[in-house]
Amino acid sequence: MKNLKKYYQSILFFLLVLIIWEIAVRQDWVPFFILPAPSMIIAGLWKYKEQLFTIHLGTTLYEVLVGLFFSVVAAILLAVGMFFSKTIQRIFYPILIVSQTIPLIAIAPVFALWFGYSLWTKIAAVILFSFFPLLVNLYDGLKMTKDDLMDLLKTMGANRWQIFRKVQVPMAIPSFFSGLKVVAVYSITGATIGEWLGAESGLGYFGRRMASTLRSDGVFASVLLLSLLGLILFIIIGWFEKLTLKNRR
Amino acid sequence: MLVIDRLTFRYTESEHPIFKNISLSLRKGEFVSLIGSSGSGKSTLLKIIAGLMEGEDGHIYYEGYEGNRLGKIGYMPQKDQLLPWRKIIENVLLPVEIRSSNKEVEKEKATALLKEFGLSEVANEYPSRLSGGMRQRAAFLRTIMTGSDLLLLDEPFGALDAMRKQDMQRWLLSVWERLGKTIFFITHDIEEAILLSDRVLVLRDGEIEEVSIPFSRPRVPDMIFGHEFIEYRRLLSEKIREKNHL
Repeated sequence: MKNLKKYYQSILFFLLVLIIWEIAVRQDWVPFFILPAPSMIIAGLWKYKEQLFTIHLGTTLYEVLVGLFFSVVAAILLAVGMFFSKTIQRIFYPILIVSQTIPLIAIAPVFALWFGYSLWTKIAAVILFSFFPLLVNLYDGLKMTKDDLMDLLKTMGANRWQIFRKVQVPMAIPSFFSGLKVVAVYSITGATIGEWLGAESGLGYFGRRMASTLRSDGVFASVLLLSLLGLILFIIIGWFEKLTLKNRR
Repeated sequence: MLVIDRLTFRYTESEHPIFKNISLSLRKGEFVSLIGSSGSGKSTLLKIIAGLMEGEDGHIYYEGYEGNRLGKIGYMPQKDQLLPWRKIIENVLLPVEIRSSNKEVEKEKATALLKEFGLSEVANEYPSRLSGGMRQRAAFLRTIMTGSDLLLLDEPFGALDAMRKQDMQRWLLSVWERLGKTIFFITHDIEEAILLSDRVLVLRDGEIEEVSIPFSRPRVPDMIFGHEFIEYRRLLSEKIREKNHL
């Protein structure tokens, strides 16, 4: 209820746009094969429901989840490695920062070259998009503990590992979750691009196929589903975050 | 209990030393305060005693031994540093976890002390729910749970308002009298130092001067209006400032 009050202006505007959009298409101001009306997109979703929900959604979701899993594991390993070893930090940190100047989409075809049409092209693209934000957030989170608090733990006789486990890891969790929330959407971008490069199923692949035959309702239906997928992933992560951090300041 | 013998300390090689050949000793069960203007190095001395830093010259003996003091002396930093993701009872038991001593026994002890400190109702609350005074008490209890006989307190009441501060001073005195711990207390509040301590150490320009406070115990808050008390205030504030007036 409180949310409704807060966002109602935005919601009203959005509804207004939808209505104008619907009218514009129905009055033939805009050809429907360029821009389908909102109702046509929903109808498209229904029309292609079997393919979308039984094949393509599953494929994309699978790519995203597997890619995210590897990204999280790799980010944790490297963040902890850099955190504990100055040498590892000195080797990797500059490379990682510089690597961010590479336009990610431009290297994506490399994966197609290496992995062909297999799932690994898409998983690699997901990792490409999600690894770095996860790593940076986690690493920064680990470094967040103030010296004063470290000192307190040391006076209690805590060793390096105890300080890490009892203070630095819990301290890094909020930052880890912010990374994960950002990456929820990035990973879907990654999977979509991966599918454009070559795939036999997936929502990105479906969208491209529909576009090539000018079936705009199908294109937009896949875009709608991809957006919803990102949103749902974001909400689920936010929900986990709340559950984990509910008692903090 | 603790002896510092001609300690010299500076942060970097070239810098003017923060402490020049200072010596002091703390006897078991004493309440000793350290006063000095801000930037005089009070907190630094506390950190050295706790074992977080070492002097470049001189010796420090704790219970007769020289060497690593980390894990042996209770240290309460300026801010309460309660971990927001731990309940009060869990915060208080943190030093016990780190020593990995018998948790059941220590938990009983902590529960009894929480009751004594008026914190049993919030034992299962998170720190964010507590008032400033309660947080300080919890942080002090955590310091006690280190099991150490010497407690170093770094301006524990610095952030509290005058009324709450008085309550906390009275409370600290009563706790100290019951527990029989040795307390080394940093403050920049002269009145507080006189009210609480057996001796007051004045830190100025890297040197320490000692003033004994002969008032009998238990002390009452009203004594701060007494004639003698005011004399001590005058004496100590002169000592803090002396050099600046030259």
